[in-house]
Amino acid sequence: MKEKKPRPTKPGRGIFWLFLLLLFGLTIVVGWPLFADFSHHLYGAQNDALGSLWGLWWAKEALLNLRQLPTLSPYLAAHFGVLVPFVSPLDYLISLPTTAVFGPIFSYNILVLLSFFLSGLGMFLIIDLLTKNRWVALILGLLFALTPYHLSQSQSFLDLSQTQWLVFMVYFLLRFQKNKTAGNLLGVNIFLVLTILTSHYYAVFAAIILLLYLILQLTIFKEELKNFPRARKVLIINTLVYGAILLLGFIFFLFKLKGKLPVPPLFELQNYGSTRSWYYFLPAMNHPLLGDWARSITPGFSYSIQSINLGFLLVFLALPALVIKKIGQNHRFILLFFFLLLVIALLLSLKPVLNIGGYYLYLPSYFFFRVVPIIKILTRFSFLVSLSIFILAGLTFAHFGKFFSKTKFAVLSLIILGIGLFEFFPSFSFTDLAKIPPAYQWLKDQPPETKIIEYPFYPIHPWVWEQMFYQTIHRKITFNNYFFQTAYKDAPDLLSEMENLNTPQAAWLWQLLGVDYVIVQTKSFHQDETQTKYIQEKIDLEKIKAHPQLELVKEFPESLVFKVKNKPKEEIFALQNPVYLPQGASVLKEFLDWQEKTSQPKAEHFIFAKDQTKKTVPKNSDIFLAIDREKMEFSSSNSKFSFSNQIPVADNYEFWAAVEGSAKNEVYLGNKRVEIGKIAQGLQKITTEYLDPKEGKVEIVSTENKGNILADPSFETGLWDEGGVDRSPEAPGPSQIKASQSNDATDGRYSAELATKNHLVGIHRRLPKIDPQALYLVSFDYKHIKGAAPHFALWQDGINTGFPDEFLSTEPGWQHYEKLIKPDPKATFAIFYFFSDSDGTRETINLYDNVKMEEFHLDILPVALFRKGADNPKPLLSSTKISPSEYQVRVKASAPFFLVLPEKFEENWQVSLSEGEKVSSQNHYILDGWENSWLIEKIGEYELKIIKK
Amino acid sequence: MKKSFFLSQIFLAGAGFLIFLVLLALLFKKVKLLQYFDPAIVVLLVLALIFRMIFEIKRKDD
Repeated sequence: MKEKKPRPTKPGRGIFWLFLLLLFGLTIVVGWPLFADFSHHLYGAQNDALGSLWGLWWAKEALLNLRQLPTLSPYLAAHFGVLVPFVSPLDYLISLPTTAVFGPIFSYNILVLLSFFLSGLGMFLIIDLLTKNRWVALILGLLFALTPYHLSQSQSFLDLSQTQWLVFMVYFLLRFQKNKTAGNLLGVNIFLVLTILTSHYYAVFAAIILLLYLILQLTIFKEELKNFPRARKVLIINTLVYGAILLLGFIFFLFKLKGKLPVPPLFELQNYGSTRSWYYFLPAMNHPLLGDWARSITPGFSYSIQSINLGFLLVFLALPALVIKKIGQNHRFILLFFFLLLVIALLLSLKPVLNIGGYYLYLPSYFFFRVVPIIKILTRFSFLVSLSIFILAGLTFAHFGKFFSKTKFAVLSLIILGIGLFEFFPSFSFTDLAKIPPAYQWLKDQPPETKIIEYPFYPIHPWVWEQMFYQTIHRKITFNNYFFQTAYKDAPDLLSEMENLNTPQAAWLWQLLGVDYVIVQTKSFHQDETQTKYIQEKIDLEKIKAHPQLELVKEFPESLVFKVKNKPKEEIFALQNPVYLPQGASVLKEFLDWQEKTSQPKAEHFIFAKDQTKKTVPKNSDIFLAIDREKMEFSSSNSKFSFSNQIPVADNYEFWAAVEGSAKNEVYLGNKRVEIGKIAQGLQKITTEYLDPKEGKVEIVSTENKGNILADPSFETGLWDEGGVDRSPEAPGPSQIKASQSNDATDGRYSAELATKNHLVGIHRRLPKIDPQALYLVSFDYKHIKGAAPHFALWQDGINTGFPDEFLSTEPGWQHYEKLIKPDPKATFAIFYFFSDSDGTRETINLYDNVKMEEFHLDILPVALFRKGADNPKPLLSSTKISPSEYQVRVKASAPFFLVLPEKFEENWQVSLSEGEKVSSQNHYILDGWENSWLIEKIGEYELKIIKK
Repeated sequence: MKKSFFLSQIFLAGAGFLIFLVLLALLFKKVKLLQYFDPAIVVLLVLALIFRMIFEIKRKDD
């Protein structure tokens, strides 16, 4: 006879309703600042959350308005589009209606607040299921909604805030463990799917939980399964297989993604992405009372990643569950399962390599990261630790309950709730997004096809989220934010060419790409030192305002809006390295393939050929690129490549191109190599080498070489710093560094050997006063023995900034390094550093020798561009600078050539030949989008003047 | 069987004591001491888990 299961008794139900009421109240408390304006006040901090808002908006835009899959968005990284990694499709799908009606902020808030409510409910159900004690369930349910992990994740990460599905999956798994019905297993599978669709982190956690469950159930606890009829077993196995297929599919997806997402290096994982076990006992850094204390213990502590406090109280409640025999008898499976999960999750969350007195202990997290690198923040395993602790604590708590009277237990419960709430004391931030920066407000009213580019550029930086969020307001296509994977792999390199908006190639690319407006942020709007420095370095407002291709159209308090001018007159382009091939011209099969696959507009494609030419031809050979609208062929001046298609095609930018191999030192120091090809309309097409594309062309008038200005450059009389200096004394563990002379040398008898097992070891030498007018050729030999790459830096005193540290090649054997450096005009003197790094996981040894820093003096003067060849000798120019607005040039030329004045293009610059005859303004060209250039057709020996009127 | 459960209890008690020490180290800001907590807690918990597993497996056989 079928007997109805007894329903929970009334008092039990009362507690359940009380719990729901309290949980609802708690959710309101957590989200209280939002309720003033739910559609404009965002729960959480202003960083990754803004990216999620863009995602919510874009999913709505793609599915409801554009009727396309949201996986490729043409709104960002214009022309290429970005592949949007929808790691949390469930959130985007279920919030579609609210996003469409109330906007993305509303949806975001609802999703995050719901996660508090549902996670608490899930924990209540689990504890109730296991202990039948609803008071215990109530208290732990409330506390679980408020764990520092959950609070910190929900401040920034939409996907990670959604902990509830995994909790419900565990709930149904535990139900299934007690009562092996198909319904319970269906519950497991449903919530497994929801978990997978929410977060790849939680999907991996779910996989670990299910795997652990299966292992325990099929080994130690296999007897339990024997009591069930065959049909049920078949169902169970079927459902498990179904779960496994889903998981395998997902893991396959992870591996597919593995190569595409940036994977952090191990040292980053060591220092930022993993935890130390005692972090589990540190209060959250934004705890109202204990936060300051917590911060003082771990300076540099990142709130969103490392707030994982388990609560002392809960830990001390959890441990007895494992020790008291009686609890073990009643909950044999549960105890073993969560003890296992606790230890495994703890091991996976810890720093992958522990350095114990010079010996390295590799923890499971190290191997796990190697297999599943997509789980790059191992700290998040703390969620499983916390889940286990809560369940074990629930068992002890309920066990103690049996020894107390109802009243005493109620008092005890309240005390525990009080302590727990104090430990987890919630403190939240929210962001008011109601105020839109006026530049974006203005942009919103521009025509829909408007295309923009924003400076400063954030190639890969969390602050791209802010620009992305405001796109949901202004809805204009932007060239920024290649942060995600673009459809074309070299696109980020191209963007780096545009990073500095004062360079000629940036201006040229704007025109090529069809940028309408350049928006320049003038405030140092992020209170971050490195970022402020970045902005100052990259943006010189005066220079920008004088930019020949930009017209200031709007000036807002915190940003300037420039319109990109149409080309005022015909331009010529000296090809540099890299080379851009516009108007559908294409050099690569790969690029053509991509064109076929994507639905992006074809008209404005271009290509970044630098890497391809490097791959295809040997260094230093001349490569000619013949461009055709339909096909593109490589040719070269050496016999390996034949010149087959010589048809120049029409429109603006088609040309014969000559690309030189990588620039060598002799090119920098006077032996300028120049190539000319012919293009349509009878114009000369020029290529030349630049000293540095950012510095412009230079002619060397004096190569006064003062020789090596470094004393003891080969470490013959000892090291610069005997024994080396510990440059990271704050790193953990006693310093194990060594700097010594080595007999393995390229110059003299000794080289400097820098060895370290944990800290950063460095040697340095202060240079004599440097001349900001001079150029310095820095060179040295280095040899990588083992560990991390060799590494050097040059610090400029006076401006207190350095040339960026350079990590050198790890190829075996001695290598040579050479670089031409132009010091900052305000620098007074420099400090030369060599380093060896170790993250504490391996020993590093590097050698350095034969260090040189040679000083050269250069000046900028007019130069000639000409076609190289036996029939076309180099025109000889002897230039004198008479004043900043006048140059005198003696010329000896046997063929027409281009005279280049490396100054900003201005119509007022004019060239007069000897008899007062002026060079026609028609022959005055903008070279490379910025500088002055004249086609001089007169042959012979004569004198000319370049004068600014 | 009982021996393994007892050993598991001992190691867990050791872990509990360590956590208490961590509380003290945090209170007195002895951050340098805390770095030794990682290997210690890992060893204690793993040993406790191993003996608990042995206990559970043997118990099934009885």
